[in-house]
Amino acid sequence: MNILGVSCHYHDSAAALIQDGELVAAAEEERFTRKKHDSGFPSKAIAFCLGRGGVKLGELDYVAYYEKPFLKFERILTGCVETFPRSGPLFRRAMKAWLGEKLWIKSRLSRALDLPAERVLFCDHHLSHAASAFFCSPFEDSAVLTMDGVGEWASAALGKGEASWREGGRQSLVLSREIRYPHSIGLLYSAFTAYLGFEVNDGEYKVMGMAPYGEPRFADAVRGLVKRFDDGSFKLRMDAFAYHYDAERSFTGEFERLFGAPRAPGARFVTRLTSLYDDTAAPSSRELEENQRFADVAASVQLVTEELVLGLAKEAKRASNSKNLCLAGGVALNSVANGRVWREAGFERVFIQPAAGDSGGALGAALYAYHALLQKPRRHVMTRADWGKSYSAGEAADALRALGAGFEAVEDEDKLLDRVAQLLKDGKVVGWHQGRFEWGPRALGHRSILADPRSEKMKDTVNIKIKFREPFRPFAPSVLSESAASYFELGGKPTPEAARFMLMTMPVKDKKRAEIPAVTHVDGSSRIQTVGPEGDALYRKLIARFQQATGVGLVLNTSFNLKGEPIVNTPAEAFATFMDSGMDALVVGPCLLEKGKNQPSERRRTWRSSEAPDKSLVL
Amino acid sequence: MPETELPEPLRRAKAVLHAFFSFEADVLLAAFYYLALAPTAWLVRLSGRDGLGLKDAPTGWTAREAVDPAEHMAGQG
Ligand SMILES: [Fe+2]
Repeated sequence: MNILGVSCHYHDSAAALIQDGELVAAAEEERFTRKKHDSGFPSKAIAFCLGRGGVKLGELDYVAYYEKPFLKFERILTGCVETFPRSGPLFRRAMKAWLGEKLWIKSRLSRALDLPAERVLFCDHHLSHAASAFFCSPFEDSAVLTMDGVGEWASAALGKGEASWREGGRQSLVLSREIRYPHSIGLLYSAFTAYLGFEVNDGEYKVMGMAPYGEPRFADAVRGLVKRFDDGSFKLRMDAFAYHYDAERSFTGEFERLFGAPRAPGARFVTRLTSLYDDTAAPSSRELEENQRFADVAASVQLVTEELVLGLAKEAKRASNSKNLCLAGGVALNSVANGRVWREAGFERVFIQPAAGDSGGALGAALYAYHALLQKPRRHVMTRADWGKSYSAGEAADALRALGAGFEAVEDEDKLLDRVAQLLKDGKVVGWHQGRFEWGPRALGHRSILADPRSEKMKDTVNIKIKFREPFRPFAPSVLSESAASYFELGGKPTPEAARFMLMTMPVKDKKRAEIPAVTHVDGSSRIQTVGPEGDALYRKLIARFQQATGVGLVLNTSFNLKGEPIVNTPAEAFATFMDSGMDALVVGPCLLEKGKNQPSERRRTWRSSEAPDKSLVL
Repeated sequence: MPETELPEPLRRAKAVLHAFFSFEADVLLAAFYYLALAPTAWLVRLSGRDGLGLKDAPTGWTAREAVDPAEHMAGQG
């Protein structure tokens, strides 16, 4: 039984293939097209998934699409009518996109996959999110909470899942309540993302990274934008927001009255606690003061977001009385909020799959079809994130040779690991390209840039010289699961499943902060990835080797890409990125390259801004 | 033929045509917006419908109807 799930036409298009209930392949289209957050029809991701599963065109049993296009179109029309006459430009843009392409997804899928139309299935957006988490979790029963910007009408939904590994057992996933557009935690956060000068649907991480530099002195002003109810639900005060009728702006003058003038896109962000950019002068006191205000706004919206998410999670606990919680939707990528849910909402276990955003809907739609529609028993628990394309040692060597790269093939795995551990110990920054690329926005040891977490200056080096990104952005550690409790405050609980996928932020133990400064954020927190025996063996061995060499059971891990680019896929992309950046060494499969033997002809890149902050959030 | 292989005059002509038709589409859509949506918006306002949930309510939750998975997955709406 082959079921392909597809998500596209909003952001982060993706495809996922399940065979007899087991996940075989899943990938985001951007990794193939090299267009960040590519929202186009995911032809390349589909071709990859079918190829990996050995499925020919016409051989699929079903294709499941991750949302209901007619309902979404209805929501857009309703919004345009109810906000007439302010919605003119939004209406024109929506009609072109929808009449031109988005409404015809059924025939597009049926043609592209050579399937009769009745084999093309549709799953509600939040049900797709919910299924992507629940049917990948290890739980037989669980509360389920989804939160995002918006799907068709819902922006959050709450329910319960029951699943059985037995043939004939009950498979059920029911969302019983929802919060409806335009009231939305995701859109609230994105409006502040735009206000803070970042690109929406991308810069939300930057807001989260900026928040610890500030004090939440605007929290009451943000709370004033939200009417909260005792049952965890909320409504937004829409006079401060414009995303429901304006294609260009997501907030109004009222918003600016509360928080001051917005931050200019691309401006540098410097406070007394951040490092300076490498190419600019010392900040004036006025610049510091302005930036402190932005940091304080970021801290405030982050805090209120955590309060809203916690409110929903506590309601999920109250309504379900389950020990387990599955989270999904773009808001579930907010690792700081997730950490608080795990610590404070009363659940013993929390599961989130790595592609919690809309790409994950592809996987969820396919799983919903298999389990809820066809009532097939559970087969799959997601314990690892590497579901993308891989390259053999021979392919890697051929690709590097074709590019004229000087490399050494280190076939003995032990020797390779020793060499890489030594490079890291010596303060070198190493590109690590191994196996299949990851599913979701995080690099988890397959397309990663690795460095020594003990070095004070490593954070600036990797931000500024390697990735050409803003110096305030924090870095995360990959830690051996058995070492996690000695570095991070886990409150005596076992590490949550979601930490495998770098989706939870934990406090670093006070006495350990000075030991691992490169992965400790300014507020003493860290977004950890635990690497256990069930995960990637090679990566685990590498961290263990680093521990033998240094006594520290974790490495700094950041995604293998430069600012504004998708994470690398092929060995050739890894080599090009390596040559374009200040990385010292690169490992592709068994091939080890060092910068000394591969001199870039000239440094093409320097820090640059690629922000285009505001765009429609709701089409 | 890919865009880059077209001779310059053809490429320019194509760009002009494209701009013209997208302008046309804009005009038609603007006309539709003001002619068709205006009375609809007026009627909606008169009816007191609150499709965006902007009015006061006792909760932010909306109940979801139970779905039969087969029925649910068959349709786009
Ligand atoms: Fe979503």
